[in-house]
Amino acid sequence: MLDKIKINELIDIVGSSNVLTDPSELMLYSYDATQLHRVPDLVVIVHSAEDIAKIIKFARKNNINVYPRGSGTNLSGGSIPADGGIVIELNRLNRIIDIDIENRIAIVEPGVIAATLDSEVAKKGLFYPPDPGSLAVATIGGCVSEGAGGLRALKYGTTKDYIIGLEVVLPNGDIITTGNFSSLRSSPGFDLTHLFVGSEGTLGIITKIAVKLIYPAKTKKTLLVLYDSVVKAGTAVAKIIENKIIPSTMEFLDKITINAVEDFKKIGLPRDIEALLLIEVDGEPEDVETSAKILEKVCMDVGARSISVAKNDTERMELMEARRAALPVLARLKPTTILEDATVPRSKVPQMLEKIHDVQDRYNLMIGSFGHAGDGNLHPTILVDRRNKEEMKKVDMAIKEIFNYCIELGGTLTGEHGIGIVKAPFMEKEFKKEGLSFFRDIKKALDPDNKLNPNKIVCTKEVHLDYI
Amino acid sequence: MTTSNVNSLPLIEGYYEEQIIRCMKCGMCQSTCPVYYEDSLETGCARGKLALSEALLHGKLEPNHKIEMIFNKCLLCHACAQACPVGLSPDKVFAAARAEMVKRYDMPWIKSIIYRKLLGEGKLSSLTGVLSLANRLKLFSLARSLSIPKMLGKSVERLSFVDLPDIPSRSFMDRFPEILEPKSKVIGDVGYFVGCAQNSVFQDVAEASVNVLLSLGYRVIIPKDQGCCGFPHYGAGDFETLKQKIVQNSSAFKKYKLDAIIISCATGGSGLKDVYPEMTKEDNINTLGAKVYDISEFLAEKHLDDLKKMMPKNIKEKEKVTYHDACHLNRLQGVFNQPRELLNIMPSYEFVEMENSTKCCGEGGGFTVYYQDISTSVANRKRETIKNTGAKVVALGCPGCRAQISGALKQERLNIDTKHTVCLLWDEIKKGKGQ
Repeated sequence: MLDKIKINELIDIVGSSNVLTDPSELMLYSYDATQLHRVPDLVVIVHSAEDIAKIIKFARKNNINVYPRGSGTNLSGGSIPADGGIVIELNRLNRIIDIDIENRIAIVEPGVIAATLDSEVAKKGLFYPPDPGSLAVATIGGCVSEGAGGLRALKYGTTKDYIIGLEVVLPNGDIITTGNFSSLRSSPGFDLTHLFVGSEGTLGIITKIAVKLIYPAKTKKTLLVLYDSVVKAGTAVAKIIENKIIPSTMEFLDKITINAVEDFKKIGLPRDIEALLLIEVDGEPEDVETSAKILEKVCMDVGARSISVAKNDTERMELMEARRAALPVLARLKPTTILEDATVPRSKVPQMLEKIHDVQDRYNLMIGSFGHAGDGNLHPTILVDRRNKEEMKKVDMAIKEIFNYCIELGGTLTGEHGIGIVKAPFMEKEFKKEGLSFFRDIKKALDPDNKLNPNKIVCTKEVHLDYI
Repeated sequence: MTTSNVNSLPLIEGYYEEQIIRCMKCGMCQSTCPVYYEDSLETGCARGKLALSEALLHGKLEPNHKIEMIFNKCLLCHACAQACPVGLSPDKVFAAARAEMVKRYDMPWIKSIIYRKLLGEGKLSSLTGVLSLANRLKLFSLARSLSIPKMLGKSVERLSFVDLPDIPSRSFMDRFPEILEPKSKVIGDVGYFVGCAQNSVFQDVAEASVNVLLSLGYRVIIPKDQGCCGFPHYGAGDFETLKQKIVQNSSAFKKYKLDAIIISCATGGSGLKDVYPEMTKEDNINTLGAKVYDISEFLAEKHLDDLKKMMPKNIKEKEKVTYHDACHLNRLQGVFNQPRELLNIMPSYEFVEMENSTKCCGEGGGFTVYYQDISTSVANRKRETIKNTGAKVVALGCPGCRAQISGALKQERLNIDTKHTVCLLWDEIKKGKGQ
């Protein structure tokens, strides 16, 4: 706990209006989108890298944990002050410093909302492809820290693929710059930039981000394909890529999700289909036409029940509706929605789904699955009532089984949500003892006192989190 | 965790526990919340306040004035509900939470006078008298320069921001009889719900509404014993007075056999259409005796062609008009196209959309008093989008928005008028009649 004298030291750094101490306000910085929480001892709102450096030094001197936080939309507990301490609120660092059209680079502060960056670069005729579901509220800093993905990752990659340089406040208070802010090509020594991308605020606090931009595709074409079996849908995904077509989007919905969409949106999907694929190709008009024709043929050859192709933008939006509605409609089925992020090799999607269905039956849980089929990135969404303690125990066991199997298939714990605190216990399974030990060494080298977002990614002590 | 508090928060528990528990904490509400847009604090957006409600419900926090103020930090604009993937109505939870706070602490005396005396009394005339007198004596600007209690001071400061017209000493209902007969053949009987603002401050709106309805051939009935709609009480957490208002208005309108009840106040309309059924668990027809329509909704849906015939001919010069969507009209009542349809048939005007027309103006009852800086800042953004259209008139359907927006325009001495859509329509009909 912090005493008055120490709080005053912080007030001297950032001003009294930027230090929140009231229990009701602290409660509001205790959670993220996992809905788990732990109330911090203090929230400090910062306005510059220098503010952060001072606070980090203060925290180190006083043996206090520090947790960076953007919009708090992450799905892995990454920004929860799980072991008590100070939450550093980064939303005020929200300037777009530069959009360099000639070199196709944007330099932004971490508090910029992803959708804002999107629309600002679009105004200059450029394109920033990563589009996580939380685009409208997530900060770029959060996207970089979690390695956020989105619907366009199959063709365009995730946030990782667009970060060319960072400014970071290190756990010792030093401010460093990695990569290069004005050139797309730079390779002196270690790739320090990508040491911090996806590090979830455990190695430093990012205060400036240089992103690579590209030109947007000229045209798009969207198809909605219905299948009687998950295996057929999975085969279609593999065949499409074998035919040298990389759609910008290739999304999947399972039967439970499709039925939930029909329950709430009534868009006319048959209730007996097992899977649907939403596929979008983009590029030069002629290429798009050719690709779409091949896509249609491949999907049909594999045994699609039906294919709808959007003729214009309005129809495109209509077809997208099923995918857009997936999470919202599932979330309406039960009071609590637990969104997971298991990722397997593309060819193993049908097997993974089979396992999810098996887990669902054995534990008598409701699990709707949808996700980025092209990347094998599935979002099994467990629907429960968190007031039911018995059911929650089953959820824990189900998640364990799903992740264990996911790794057995050669998959990974996360395609875009990060590890945070909820998946840290599974890390050894994926990286083995030696691998995890290397993670630990890196963390120790940068943050020897373990003060910066402790217990995330690498578990150092067991921390129990609960709902409010 | 204790559960002892659950019983002491029956409103939250009874109506809204399900809403609170269903919040996924995804934060999507941040993207549309006008308050969060201004200060990016978790206290502003719905997720934060739902978390607070949950902490109260589970006894993890005890109610206090700080928490009361956080619940007051909401415009009740309903934008969060539109963004919510789960389909929650957080604003309703906050109104209930405010009611819990009022039950616990009662209201500050100034708020109590406003809500329970001026707006709570049976008849609306006393409000007109007080406002008219205060206005004539220039009390609002006078009081600002005097040393006065904080809450009263803030209210007065607030009143000096908004732009109110000269208030007549007699109310609309004092000036008009209970039953008005059309000159032509009667095509139906409609009730007119006047509302506090139209009865005292913006009487031009009530007059225009009644005149347009009469020109169409309706017999217009304005029950004398109607009162305030109760929405201000709902927003302030005074559910007791709200319930009295529902009983009073129900008996006033049910006396007549009406084809429809027309209202020209966005907030009042959403009160009658949305809050009444929430409280009574019955629909409008059971509660008030007839279906409730906003004036623009009623006119555009039922009489667009009749109105077209009444428009003036050979208008050469068109003035640009833009339209601001009141939250309580657009989001709570789903009235969006109808006022635009009306504006588009008016030959004297060229309709231009403003950017973000559905974004709140920053009014919001007590909010403007508690969070004046945020309120003003939101209003100023609205002013910029209005300026960018080059319009000379802003049409709207809400007295709160009208006072707020004309106040913001006044700060820059802009020569842009704010008018209710139905006032523009009545002007056109009068022009048409003169030809």
